[in-house]
Amino acid sequence: MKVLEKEEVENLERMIEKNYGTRVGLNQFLVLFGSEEKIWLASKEIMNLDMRKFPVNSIGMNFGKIKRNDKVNLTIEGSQMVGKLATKNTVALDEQEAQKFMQGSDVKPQQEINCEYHNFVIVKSGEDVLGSSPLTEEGLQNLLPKSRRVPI
Amino acid sequence: MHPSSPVNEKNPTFNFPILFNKCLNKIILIVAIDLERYKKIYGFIPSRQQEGWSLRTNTLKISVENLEARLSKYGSVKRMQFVNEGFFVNTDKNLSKSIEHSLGYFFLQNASSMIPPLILDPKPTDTILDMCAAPGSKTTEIAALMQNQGPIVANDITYKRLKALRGNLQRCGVMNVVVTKMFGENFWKIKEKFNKILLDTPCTGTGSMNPRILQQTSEQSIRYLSRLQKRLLESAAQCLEEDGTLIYSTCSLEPEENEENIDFAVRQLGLRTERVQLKLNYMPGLSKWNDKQFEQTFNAVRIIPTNEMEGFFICKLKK
Repeated sequence: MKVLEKEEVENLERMIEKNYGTRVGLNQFLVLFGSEEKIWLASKEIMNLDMRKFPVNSIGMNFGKIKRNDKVNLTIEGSQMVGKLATKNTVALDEQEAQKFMQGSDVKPQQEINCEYHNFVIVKSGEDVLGSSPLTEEGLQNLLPKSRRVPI
Repeated sequence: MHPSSPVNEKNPTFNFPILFNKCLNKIILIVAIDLERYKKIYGFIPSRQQEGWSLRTNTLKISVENLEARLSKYGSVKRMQFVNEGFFVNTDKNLSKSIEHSLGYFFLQNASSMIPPLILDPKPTDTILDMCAAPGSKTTEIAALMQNQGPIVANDITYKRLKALRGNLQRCGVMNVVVTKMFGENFWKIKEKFNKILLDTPCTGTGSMNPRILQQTSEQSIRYLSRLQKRLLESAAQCLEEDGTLIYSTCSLEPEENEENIDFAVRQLGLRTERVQLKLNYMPGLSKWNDKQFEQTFNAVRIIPTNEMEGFFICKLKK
């Protein structure tokens, strides 16, 4: 894993702003870039530890993945951070559709806020942020990890 | 080779007389573990039948009040008196399959196991080691108490357990944890000091009073785990800063895994115990067991197994 420099963090912040219309203040975290283009966020206090001494298995929280054309596929936790403030690429589901989405089904959103098709959108239901998924003309393509799905 | 030969040189593990003896020995020892020993500890034989669910609010994602309101749609919800974030929920629904669980709003956790992190009293300025962390119930609780600040090193050994730990840290949105993989007994070799350490050791788990676990517990397994726990304690003590705090806990009822190890920490490792105050019914640690006299174990906490709570042993140690 590589610790991102200030400028790289700013680029990532711009990427999020472009996609979701908000900044999340990534500079308050330690931002790491790992395998499979994954972005990890950790609290800055972790730097107090001498990492070279430890057999490290993982650090911090998986925020999301950088995709082609500067698109960002956020994890559920990444979506929850961005989603509360997002003004773009956000969809809303009712309770029934939210249940289906959490079960891993593709659903058609009731409400789309400044959405761009063939991009990742943040999925909300009431106060809950459920994650992020690609949106097409047919609806949301469910990419929820199996471990986070609610069994039917 | 004659079957009565002491060692089968071609395949030393496949020697029937030895294996048979080992099995027989184990059976005899299992029978020797008698529930009567708990009568000596508590004055009665505790029993428990788990009813409903106990869970802890993940305050990194939701407030206690909001979660309480959401859980009430599943059944009756009762707040725990001794843990502000804890709830007992009585419902037929499987809460591990709820949306709230998937979104990381709570952690399903026995009420007793919520207590060691409270005694550890973590602050955002602390540097913490959770030596046997998986599956992460206590690590996520510590992270929530620290408001996702201040470094926590969460260690465990097997990939399967680390996978569960990482999954739970992610689900709870924990950002201040470094997960490491090494034998806890060897952690002292890293030569990094922590001001607070949680040592929730592998144990027989007899505090759950689960009939299957009680059947599987033998004097041999208790002795084996007791030795392992001592090695872990020794390693943890070396990782502890001067005046640092070490919380030792098990979900076992066995004095060999509890008071005997605290006695070892006091006499051999130079640690001292400290009294803790809890808002629940518990008994102090035993001062003697069979022929052994223990030092400073009166400061330890023995949580008596009930329907709501597993039997637990917790002791606060200082360097």
